[in-house]
Amino acid sequence: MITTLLTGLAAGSLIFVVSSGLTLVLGVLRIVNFAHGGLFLIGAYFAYQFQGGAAHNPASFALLVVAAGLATAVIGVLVERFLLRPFYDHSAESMLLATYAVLLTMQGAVQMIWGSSQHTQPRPEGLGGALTLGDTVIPRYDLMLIVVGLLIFGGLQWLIYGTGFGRQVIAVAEDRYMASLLGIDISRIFMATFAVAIFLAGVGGALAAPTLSMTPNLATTFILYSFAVVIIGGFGSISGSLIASLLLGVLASFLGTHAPELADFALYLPMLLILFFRPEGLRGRGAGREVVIA
Amino acid sequence: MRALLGKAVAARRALALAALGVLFVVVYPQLATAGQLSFANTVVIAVVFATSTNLLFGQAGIPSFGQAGFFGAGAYAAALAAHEGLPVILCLLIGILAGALVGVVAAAVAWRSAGLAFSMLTLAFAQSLYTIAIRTDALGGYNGLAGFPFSRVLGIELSDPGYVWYFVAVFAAVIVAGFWQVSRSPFGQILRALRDDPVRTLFLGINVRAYRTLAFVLAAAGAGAAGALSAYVNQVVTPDSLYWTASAVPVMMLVLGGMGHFAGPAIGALLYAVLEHYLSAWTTSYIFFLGILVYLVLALLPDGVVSLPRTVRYWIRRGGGDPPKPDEVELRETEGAAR
Repeated sequence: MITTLLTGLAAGSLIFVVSSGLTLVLGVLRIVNFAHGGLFLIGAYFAYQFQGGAAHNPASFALLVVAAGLATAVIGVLVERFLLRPFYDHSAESMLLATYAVLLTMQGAVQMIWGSSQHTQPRPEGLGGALTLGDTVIPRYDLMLIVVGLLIFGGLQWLIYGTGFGRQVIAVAEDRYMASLLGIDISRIFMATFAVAIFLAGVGGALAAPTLSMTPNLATTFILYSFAVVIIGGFGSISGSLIASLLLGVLASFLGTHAPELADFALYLPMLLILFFRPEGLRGRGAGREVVIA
Repeated sequence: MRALLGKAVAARRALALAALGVLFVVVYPQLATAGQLSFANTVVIAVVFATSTNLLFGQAGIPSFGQAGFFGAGAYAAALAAHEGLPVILCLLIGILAGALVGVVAAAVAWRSAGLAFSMLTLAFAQSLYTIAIRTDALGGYNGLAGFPFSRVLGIELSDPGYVWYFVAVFAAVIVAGFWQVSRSPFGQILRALRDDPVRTLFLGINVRAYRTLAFVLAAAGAGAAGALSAYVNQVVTPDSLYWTASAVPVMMLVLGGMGHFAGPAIGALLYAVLEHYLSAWTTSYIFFLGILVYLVLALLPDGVVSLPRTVRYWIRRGGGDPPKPDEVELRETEGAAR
């Protein structure tokens, strides 16, 4: 029971790390960024490459995960600057498709570099086994994921509410025209927000790598979770995406244990319920004001 | 007077094109190998899929990212009907109906949001159909359905590849002609008005929601037709046809060909099919190049390859400078349709 719950929370934390970046970009830049899935994929393969597919001690694991995140963020910034920027004054559909084209290219690039066969990345030393408390078994890696997820949530809250940069981000998300009149450099905010979001995608990929077998198709499955989180949590809401991620993770975990034939539907049941009772999402503000950061 | 003359010329040109098309359809099986014939079937099905999707993107301005859901619904329904031994025509009609019905359900769900959320919801809806397909034994799970021979139309055996081609070509031509009529009708005009300015259209007393839903269901029926045809041609239906990346395919065709012109999606479908065919034969990582090509067309030719002659003419005449802006072009073509 508790094991199922914790496994679910761990999976949810991982989903949160990835989807919070998607939400951030959606809230501030107002882009549905399919390429986010591609950058998640790149983060996972970077982590695999940096670790050489071997287990490391926790300290160097943490360092290499952050390095993978930073390397992914560099690619993300280049993508924003050179590939997405030309589409800012185009229609939403062109933008959507441009990010999809970037996703395809990234998936193809990963396939060319690392091949389409499966790769596995072992868990770091000391985080492989499980803790046993009485009769509950808690995998150590899952505990670490939950802690990291909460740390990232706290970090994002601090970044957005506790810093001057965060206030500028909120201003741009609320009304970018007014913000620009007040002297905020919109394009700098866009780039910084994108960098943070893609750093999170890369870290998410690096943390996910030891929990699954890596293939280039990961990009399309993980973007689905993130989309579901955004719809359930509310557009552009970071706290909403935390709640939605944990909800999805726990639901999938319980269905997987008690009703495996329904587990695949864990994504859609909450989505349908939300749509009927609260179309704006758990923490969204509703029609016309769909973009919020908080 | 000039408009009248232009109309006469256009009518003659359309007639000539139609005659050429008929000639091609009749002669092609005599000239083509079996592989080329099956490729041609693929292209025709893609043309139906892309043309129906353009009713949403190009005309009504509805950014649906879930068209694979309706394509798959049509394919599965036609396959099940064929399994029951129903005649081909009936199977295809059932496929169309299935697409439309699923479209009604999707519309009811997805209209609870708008804009970008709408795109994401349509995607999620189609993806939930994928999940249902892989989890339902009656639909064959991950393997999908196979072994449902389509047999007779009006007593004619239709298993010969040549006959399959004629049948697919004629059926597809009827569907595409239907979408052509829709785009020229007052209904099509209202959809374009809705796309350009929904608020003003609402003030004209037009039931925006009803028109959009009808457009959505028509496009879903068209996608269902394409799916049913693909089941008939390929004799197999897999859940992959429902996976969300399959929904991006018709949209990429629109972008390649151009949404602002009725023939754009058809040209884009041909282009996409050719690209996919040759790129995937050449390298397994063909999506790398496909992504780059789609991106380049989006960035350099926002109106697709149908705008290439116009853009080139513009460059030659003006000796450089920016080509006409997308919206201006759209406006001109809308005026043309109104005349």
